[in-house]
Amino acid sequence: MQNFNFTPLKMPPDVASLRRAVRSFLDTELAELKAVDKAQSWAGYSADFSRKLASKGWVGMTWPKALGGSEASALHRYVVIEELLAAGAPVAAHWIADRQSGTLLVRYASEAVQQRFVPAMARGEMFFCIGMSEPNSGSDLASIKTKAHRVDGGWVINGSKLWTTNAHRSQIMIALVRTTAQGQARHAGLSQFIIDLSSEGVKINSIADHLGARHFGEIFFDNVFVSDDMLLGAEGDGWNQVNSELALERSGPERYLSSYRLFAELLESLDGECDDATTQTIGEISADLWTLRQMSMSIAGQLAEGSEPSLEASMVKDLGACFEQNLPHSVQAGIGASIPSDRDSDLSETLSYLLMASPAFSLRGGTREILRGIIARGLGLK
Amino acid sequence: MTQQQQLLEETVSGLFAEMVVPMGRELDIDSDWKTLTQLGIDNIFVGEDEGGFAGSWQDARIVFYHAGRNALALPICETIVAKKLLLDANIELPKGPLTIATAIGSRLEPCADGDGYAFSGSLKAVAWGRISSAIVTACRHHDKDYLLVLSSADGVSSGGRANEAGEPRDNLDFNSAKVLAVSQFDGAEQALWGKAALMRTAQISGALDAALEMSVTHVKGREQFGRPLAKFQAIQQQLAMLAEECAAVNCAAQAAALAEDLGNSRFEIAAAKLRANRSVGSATSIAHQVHGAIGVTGEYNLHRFTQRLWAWRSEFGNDRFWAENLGRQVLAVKDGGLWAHITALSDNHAQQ
Repeated sequence: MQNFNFTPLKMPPDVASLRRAVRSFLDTELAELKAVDKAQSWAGYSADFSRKLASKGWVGMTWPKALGGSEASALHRYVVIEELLAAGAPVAAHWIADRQSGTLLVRYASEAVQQRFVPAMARGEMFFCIGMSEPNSGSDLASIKTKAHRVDGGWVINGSKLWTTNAHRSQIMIALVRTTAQGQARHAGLSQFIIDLSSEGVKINSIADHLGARHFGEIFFDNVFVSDDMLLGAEGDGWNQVNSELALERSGPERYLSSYRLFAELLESLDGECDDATTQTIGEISADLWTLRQMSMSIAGQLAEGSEPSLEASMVKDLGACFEQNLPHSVQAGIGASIPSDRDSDLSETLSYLLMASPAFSLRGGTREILRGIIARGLGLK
Repeated sequence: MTQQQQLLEETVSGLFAEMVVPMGRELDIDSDWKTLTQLGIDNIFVGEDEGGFAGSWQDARIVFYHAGRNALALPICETIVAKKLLLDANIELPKGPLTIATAIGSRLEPCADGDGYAFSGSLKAVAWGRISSAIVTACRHHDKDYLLVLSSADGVSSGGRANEAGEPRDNLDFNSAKVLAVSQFDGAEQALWGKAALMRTAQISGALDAALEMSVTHVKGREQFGRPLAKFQAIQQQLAMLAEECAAVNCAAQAAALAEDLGNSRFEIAAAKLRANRSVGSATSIAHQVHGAIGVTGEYNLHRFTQRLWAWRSEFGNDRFWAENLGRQVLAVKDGGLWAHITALSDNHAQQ
């Protein structure tokens, strides 16, 4: 049987000073942010905040200096993002660019293309979204229909993308599209393209979610031309590229901290005093959270050393999503003796928001069922 | 893992696998114990010049894990922890299997003849109590904490039903029994309890992995409806959840062992034992469910692991004990809450 590697990570010795610097920046920048807005976690959007964060050098930290990064280690970036999430900073605008698109460009794009995009991403001025899901393709991503066909000097793209996070608030999309018709091998013939969303033939609509918030949208491509150098990586290699990209984003702190602000509000409202049942709930949540952080950090350490623990990453994402989703229910169930029931309190408002927002936690970036399928394959069951 | 740790792992995993006690066989403590001690497995923490391994908690975790993974029916883990406590307290190590226990209503007083100390108190459900030669326990006396060693033979047996896996859990009463050794030791009881909880956490991790391995092997081989159980999505999803529990507990045990090596591990051990306890219910139920009736058959081995998991969940702190302990620790953090606390812990580790 396969053994899962969760060797504990010892962080680099200088992370404490970096952590202090980030906290001091956030103390100032988030002073006026309401509790319920902090609870939006990495769905909270503020282009202004992203620019300020970038001016501190905390966007695109690991990218080459020549492209506006600071060539920091992945573990230093890890410390910055866990601090941002724990504090409830509105990171959504630059999140995708920082987490995956920039790294993808650094890895696959030509130098000219890198120069065109990456420095602006590192300045927190150019935001990216990822075009994956389509009206009839969700978990079954290989069934996508949007296609690109070759023309003189480039490609022409037709089709549509749906449920794209920040579609209407990003300048650029990296889209997975079909470059050859689907044949026997379902995963063949897919390629990734960089698409400037201001191009002719692009139409974008934002979509309201069940809370009335507009964080995702739909995009239509009607004969959209992209030049040859906008093909990212190798033609037909899109499936592999997307999967290694997904593996990198399955184990980060955003996979278990999405509800953390509710726990922070709970502790603040109790101010050190509570009944036994609530004390136990706090203990249980703390044990789960500490364990998830150890798991997430272990994978960060392995990634930094160049290995790709994709099975372990899927485990963290599934366990983390279950934890994030259970947390609001545990708090709700315990309201009473010690947990105040005042509906106008920050705690109550944060709870309402997270009860409603949390179903998405086990959908985004690969559903629970898909992740468990990946783990089952790793166990040799498929 | 260091080269030395890999060597230790190979040694103990092979050795423990050969010591499996089949149904109906009486435990042959003497011969198996001799094998273990000849190889010095009980001396993980003992210095190299005294024939030991000069090891760490991360090394000991490897032994605990494989003891759990093989359902080893010997007090090797308890002996290792007992010896570590005695080494920390500068007490000479007694011979033979040792165990650890906390006492109820205990009292320490100078012996009537003025030579040494006498101990009175009840030790409940002592792991391998009567099989062990000596018991390490803690006691408070004149507002000071003491660690002391009792001879098991001085204890009056007052029952003590074996645990779910049939491992001895003896009640022993001591009535002015002369202690073999005693040393003042600040926080003796917490130290004993914490180290023992870390030990059980790593054992739980090993037993969980064994239950997962048996489950995976079973569903690949067993066919129903014309195909292996492994091919059913319902089974795949269940085993993925079991694997996640195994991974979480394994990670928690390793991280707690590292924390114990680096010093203050009050938080980490509480969190790790609680996480391990919380995995037991769902993990054992999945392992049994995918096995069907075969899993509850006496001659099939799954129960050796699940029974230990049910037992170990209660031992050295059940869910409630550690949840309250950890909850109180978190509530006591003044500024920044849980986040400030756990990041400070790992940042301090980074600087060591």
